[in-house]
Amino acid sequence: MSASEVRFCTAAELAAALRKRRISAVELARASLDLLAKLGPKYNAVAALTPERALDEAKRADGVLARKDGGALTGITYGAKDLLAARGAPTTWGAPPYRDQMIGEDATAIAKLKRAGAVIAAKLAMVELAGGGGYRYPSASLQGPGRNPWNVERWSGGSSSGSASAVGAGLVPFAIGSETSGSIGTPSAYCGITGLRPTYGLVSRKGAMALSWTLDKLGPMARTADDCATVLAAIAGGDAADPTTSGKRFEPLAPRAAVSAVKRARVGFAEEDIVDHPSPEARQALEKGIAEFKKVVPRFARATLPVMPFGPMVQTVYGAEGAEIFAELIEGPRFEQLVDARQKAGLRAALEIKARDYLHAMRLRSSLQGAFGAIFEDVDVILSVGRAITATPITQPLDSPPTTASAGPPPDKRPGNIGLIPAGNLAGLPAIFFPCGFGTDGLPVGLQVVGPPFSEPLLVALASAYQRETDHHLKRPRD
Amino acid sequence: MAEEERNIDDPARLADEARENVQKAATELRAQRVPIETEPPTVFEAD
Repeated sequence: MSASEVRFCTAAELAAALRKRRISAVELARASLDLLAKLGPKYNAVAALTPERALDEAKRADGVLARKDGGALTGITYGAKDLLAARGAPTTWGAPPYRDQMIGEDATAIAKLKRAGAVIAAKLAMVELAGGGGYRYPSASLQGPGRNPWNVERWSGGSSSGSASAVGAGLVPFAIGSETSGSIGTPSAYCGITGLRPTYGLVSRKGAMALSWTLDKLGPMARTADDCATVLAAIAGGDAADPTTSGKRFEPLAPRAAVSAVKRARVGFAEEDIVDHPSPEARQALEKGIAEFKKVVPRFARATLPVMPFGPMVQTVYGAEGAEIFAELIEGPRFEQLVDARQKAGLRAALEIKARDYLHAMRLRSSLQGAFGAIFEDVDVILSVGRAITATPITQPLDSPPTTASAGPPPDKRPGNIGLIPAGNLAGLPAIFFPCGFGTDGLPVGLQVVGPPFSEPLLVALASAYQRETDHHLKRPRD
Repeated sequence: MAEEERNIDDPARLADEARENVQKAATELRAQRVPIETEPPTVFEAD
């Protein structure tokens, strides 16, 4: 296989090629490194290449494959958001004050991927400090604005910008991203890829930059739901070094069980999500995507979130936690090195969030979890749009809401489930984001499905069933 | 850079807006009552 043949392959396709000896792990690693070096800068997707480590891990994978051993990720290259520590490479958190930071050990997720035989080829760009202060411009990153593979004048979304661009441009078959509130979902929707936000506590956060101890999650971003499942199976599970891990593991449903689960699934939906909220560019493709999903999973019922101040809740929680985490930076001389002026103002102001407001937001989270519990007595999952708009121009300010997908709907619109990203994150629920077509501006749009804690097997089964009946996830952007 | 753009990125103005945002969020949160027995959430546990 040549480098051009490797590009846009799924992890499953590459695993089959490795087993059939159509390519070696070292050849695949070289091809991925070439693609990342050649095309990564076009999208501002790469924070650092890891060529020595990649070739070393690939050689080891070839040895395993020669013994007809290993698993689904043996020899498969990937990139990790630069908020994860990886031995031998800088870990910048996308922020100039940390441009030279070296962390001498692997994050647990990266260590687990190494044990599974995967080959890390790059650290991928991100919004500085995952955008915790509320940034104004997509350029709020050490690597510059994340550029969208479908139109480089549009944003790739944040904060897992490089992870989404690299997968969307076919430079790596999968990447690891992170989500506090929308940072896997938004870039997945904007770049036309599949992203899985796990239940809080399913994946260890050890070795990942903390923005919010009670909201942060790590998850896979890939071309298909099935690839997300393969990666999640490798990184999920308990970790003594992260006391917030549940100890639960992830295993996808067996094929027959998945078919049965898809047939039985009851889907909660609110029509206002596609009537009141989409932009003119996105509306038609989102409507079509919902109609296609209904053909695959026909049992729809109305379900709506409670009316709660999701935006203020999530901003208060990650604002207070993030400001405490970065207090030393905020009050020190390197703080001014941050790129985005609004982000700096937001972080400074967040130091003044009162304990009573933080705790009130936390108590409201308990109420919200109870409300979701009641919803999931009537339906198995909630379906909504991934984002109601297509990717915005890279020069367009992102204000109000201060970070993407954090605020509630405008007052003149019925809320429906348009607050599902902050609400789902506040309740610690898993979600899968997957493409469902293209807006009239040629940019991808997608859907999201959210379920109860640890319902990832059902979410994967639903998205996988949709992807077997559609080809949106197979579309490739032109260079 | 356009005049308006310079304006919205003025650090003093941004600082004022950020403080106002914190206060506005607090006001909205406090307007949403919770039963007195409600505690903050704990992590989900495995089966």
